[in-house]
Amino acid sequence: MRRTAQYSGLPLWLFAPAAAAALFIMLPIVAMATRVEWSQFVSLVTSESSLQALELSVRTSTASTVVCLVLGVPLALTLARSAFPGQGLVRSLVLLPLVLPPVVGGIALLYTFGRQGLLGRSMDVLGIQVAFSTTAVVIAQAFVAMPFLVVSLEGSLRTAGRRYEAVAATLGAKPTTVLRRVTVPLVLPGLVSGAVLSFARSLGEFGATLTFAGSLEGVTRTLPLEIYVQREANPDAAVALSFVLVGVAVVVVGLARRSKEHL
Amino acid sequence: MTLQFRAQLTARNLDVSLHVDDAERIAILGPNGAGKSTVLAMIAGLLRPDAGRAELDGDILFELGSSAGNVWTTPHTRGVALMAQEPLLFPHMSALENVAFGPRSAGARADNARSTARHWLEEVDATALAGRKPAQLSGGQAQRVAIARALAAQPRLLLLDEPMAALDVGAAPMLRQVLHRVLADRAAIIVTHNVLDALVLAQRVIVVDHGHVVESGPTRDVLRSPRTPFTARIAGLNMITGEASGTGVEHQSGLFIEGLGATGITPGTTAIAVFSPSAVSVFRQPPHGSPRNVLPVTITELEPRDEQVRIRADDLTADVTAPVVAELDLTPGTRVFFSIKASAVTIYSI
Repeated sequence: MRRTAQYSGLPLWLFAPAAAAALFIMLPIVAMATRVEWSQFVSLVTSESSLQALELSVRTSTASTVVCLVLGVPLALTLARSAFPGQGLVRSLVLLPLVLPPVVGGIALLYTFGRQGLLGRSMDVLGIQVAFSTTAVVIAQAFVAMPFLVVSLEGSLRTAGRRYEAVAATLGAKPTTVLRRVTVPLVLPGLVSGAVLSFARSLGEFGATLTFAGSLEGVTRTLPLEIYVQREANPDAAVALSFVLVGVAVVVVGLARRSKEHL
Repeated sequence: MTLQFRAQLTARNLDVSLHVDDAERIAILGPNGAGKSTVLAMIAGLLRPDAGRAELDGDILFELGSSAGNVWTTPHTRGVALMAQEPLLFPHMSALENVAFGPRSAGARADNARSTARHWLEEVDATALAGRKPAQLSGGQAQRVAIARALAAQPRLLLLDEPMAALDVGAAPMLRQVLHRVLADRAAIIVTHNVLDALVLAQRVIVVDHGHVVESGPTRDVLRSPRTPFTARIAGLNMITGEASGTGVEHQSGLFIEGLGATGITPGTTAIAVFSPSAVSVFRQPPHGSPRNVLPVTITELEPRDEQVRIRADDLTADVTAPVVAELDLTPGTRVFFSIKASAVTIYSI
């Protein structure tokens, strides 16, 4: 154990509930690891349906992260750097998907982009149908993942402050130049960790996807949905695939932490 | 380059008007919170006044609250560079890239911008720092790079907001010399609370207090005969102008004043020796023995100030205690000797 030179000031009894909390998080992971059929692990996770689900998950999560970046970065910049009427309300509403049950998000999306939905009806006229397609998976993932990017980036923008941007402007840089050469490089750590968190949230998306996109093998059945389906039919495969997701999550958390520390 | 500026900001109870003539450097002096930095921010376009008008070289920077309709130009179109107390070098760029930022933003190609940047780094004696990141620079080095960055943007007007305030005592004199050199023949406004900065860097000063200009005029006149309590408190310095020579300044009367900082100045050029009235000792007979500057003067006026008496002898002043005045029987017309330690005199090139 590493001892630090500084006095911590913590009462000793605090370590007991702290250890309990750490155990509470770690124990289920360990319990699951004990149930993995390691001898069949490779064949279980490389079965056709598993690989299909994994590939679909990576593809849709990447696409949704791109959507989050394209739409979320401008939103975070607007929230952090400008003032407009109703800004507080917009900031609160953007956070809604963080606390909303994903299934509710799925229903909301259905009534927006579904055949009978608010936008869906006009899109239907144009021959565009998104519900129960791979596009719907990406929409569902972006809906739940966007707040992670916006919150992370807005925090970084506020910490970085506006002073560098002001100096850049007085040196003759146009707003677009300031954004590209000063603002974005300054908040890059927050941007990277926000994107990584969005990707992770997209990868784990289940409720909104199931409600809005369904569970069609090869089209909308991502890894979490495949795990849910296999839970009944083939519990060993479900556990093995769950463990793959745990591995991915560990890598993602590590990346997010590294980007915060190093960039 | 000329600037005409007038602005009101109700929330700060600020109403300031000022002008800068071609190639003129002015200093804005004033107590903390007087509104000095606010004025700079409004000229740079970072803060919008409620009403007012500013014109730089005939281009309107802003015109607000008038019947003619409002005009407000963005900072990047003004040609006004602002240098703050902290250098604020972009942390992700090298010193060279920082200096090249202005030329690049103006549309110069990367290699051209870099050679311009090298030229300006040389101007501030920072060529050796080109490859360093801001985190690897000391406060004084970073501030020199920041000056180069501001100059490389070729601003029509340069604004400096207490450029020496964040530096340690040792780094300030060097930066002051660098600024003195690069600001020559350039229009600039320097906000400062340091009389020496005003003296060395600016031809004219404006004293701002509670959001209003309370005093203005040529730097030496204002500092020599201050008309407001604030200026009086910070000013009242003795200044002797002459030719730089060896370790001091030679006045045209043949008087030689020795002081610190003279060795870096080219002999024969104009220099100024500055010392505080409290550093002056007064004698009836010429003092002997100690390495002091001795100036024979005739007292013109005695002026009680707080617990001291200020002795004026034409342009020079000395602060002494009342018992000293009584003991030496000092009255206007008395011939005395002002004596100042060389270490209490600072010499600047003008």
